Amino acid sequence: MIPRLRRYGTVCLVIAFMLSGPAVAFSFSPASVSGIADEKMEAAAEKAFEEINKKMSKAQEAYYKPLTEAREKGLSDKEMEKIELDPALDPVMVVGPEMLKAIDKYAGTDAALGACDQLLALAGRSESAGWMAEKALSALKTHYLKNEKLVDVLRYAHYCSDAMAPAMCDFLSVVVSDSPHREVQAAGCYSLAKIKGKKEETRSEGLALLKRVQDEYGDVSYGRSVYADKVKGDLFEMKNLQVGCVAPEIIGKEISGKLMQLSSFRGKVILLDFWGDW
Amino acid sequence: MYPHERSLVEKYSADPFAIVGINSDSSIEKAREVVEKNKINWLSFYDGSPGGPISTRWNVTGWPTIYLIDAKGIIRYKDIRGKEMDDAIELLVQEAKAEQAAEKSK
Repeated sequence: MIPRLRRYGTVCLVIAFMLSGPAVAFSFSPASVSGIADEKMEAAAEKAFEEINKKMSKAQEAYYKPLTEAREKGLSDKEMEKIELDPALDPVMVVGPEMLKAIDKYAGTDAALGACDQLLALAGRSESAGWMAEKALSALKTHYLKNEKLVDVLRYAHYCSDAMAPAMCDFLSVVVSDSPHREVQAAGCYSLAKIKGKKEETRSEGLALLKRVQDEYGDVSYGRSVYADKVKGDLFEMKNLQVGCVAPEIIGKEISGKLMQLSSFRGKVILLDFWGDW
Repeated sequence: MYPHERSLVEKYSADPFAIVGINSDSSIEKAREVVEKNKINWLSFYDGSPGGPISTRWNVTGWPTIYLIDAKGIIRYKDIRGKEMDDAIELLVQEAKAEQAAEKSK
C-alpha cells in the first residue's frame, strides 16, 4: 500500500506541475491563475495599488492646497466658499487613468476589486470622470460577477449620480440574475430598488423590487440586522416621504420638554432638519 | 451649519418660515447644552438617539438630512444643500406669501 500511495503522490505532483506551469506561462486572463500564482498576483496587486494610493494622497494634497492655505491664513467660512479649486487637478482626473490600467492588469485580485470600489466612489459623482466609473463597472461585470466579495461594492451602489444611474441599473440587474451568492443578489436587488425608487417614473418598479427583497431575501443579514427589517423603513419612505407627499405628522417633545407637533407649523415653510452635535 | 441656519431664522423672522429640528444627541442634557452654546434659535424634537423613533420612521441613515416642506404641508425638496437649499427656501417663502396675499384679497 505504501509504495502505491507514494507513487500516487508523485503522479499528483506531476499533474499539478503540468497544470500550473503552462497556466503561468501562457495565461491570457490573469484571473484564471490559481494557487501560489494567485497569491503572488495578489501581493503584486496590493503593492501596485499601494503606490497608486500614495499618488492619490499627493494629488489630493495638491488639489486642496488653496483651501489648506486659506485656513492657515485664517480666512472666514464665507471667504473660503469663494475659493475655486482647479478641476484639472481633481485627484480622480490625475490618478484615475493609472488606476484603471492597474485594475485591468490585476483583474481578479481582491486589491483590484477594492480599487473598482474606490473609483466608483470617486468618479461616480463627477461629470468629467464618469467614464472611469463606467469602466470600473464593466471590470466588475467581467471579472467579479461570481465573486462573493462583490457585496461590499454593492452596498453603496445607490448613492451613484443620476448620470451614472442607467449603467449602474444595467449592472445591478445582471448581478441579481447571475450571482451565485444570495448575499450579493440581495444587495444588488436592494440597491436597484433604491435607484429606481428615486425617480417618480420608476418608483413603482422600485417598490416592487423592495417587496422582492422583503419576500426573497428577508432573512439575509444586513449589517447587524436583516433585509426584512431594513426594507420596512425604505418602503415607508418610498410611499410616504417623496416630493409631493403630505409630510407625515410628528408628535413629540421639544428639547425644552414641551409637547410639540409638526402640523402646528402649517402655514409656514418648514426646513425639517435631522441633526445632532457629534 | 449652525451660523447659516441662525441667519436663515433671522432673515425670515417676519415671513412664513420655520426651521424644525429633530435632534438625535445621546442625552437631553447634551442637546440642551448644544442649543445654549450655539445660540440655536429654532425648535427641535428630541429623538433620544440616532436610532430614535422619529429618525427610524423617517428612514434617516445620514446626518444632517433635510426636507423642505411648503406652507400646505407638502414635501417639496429632499436632501438639498448650500445655495440650492437657500434658493428653494426663498422660492417657497415667496409662494406662501403670494398665497397669503391672495387669501386676504378674496
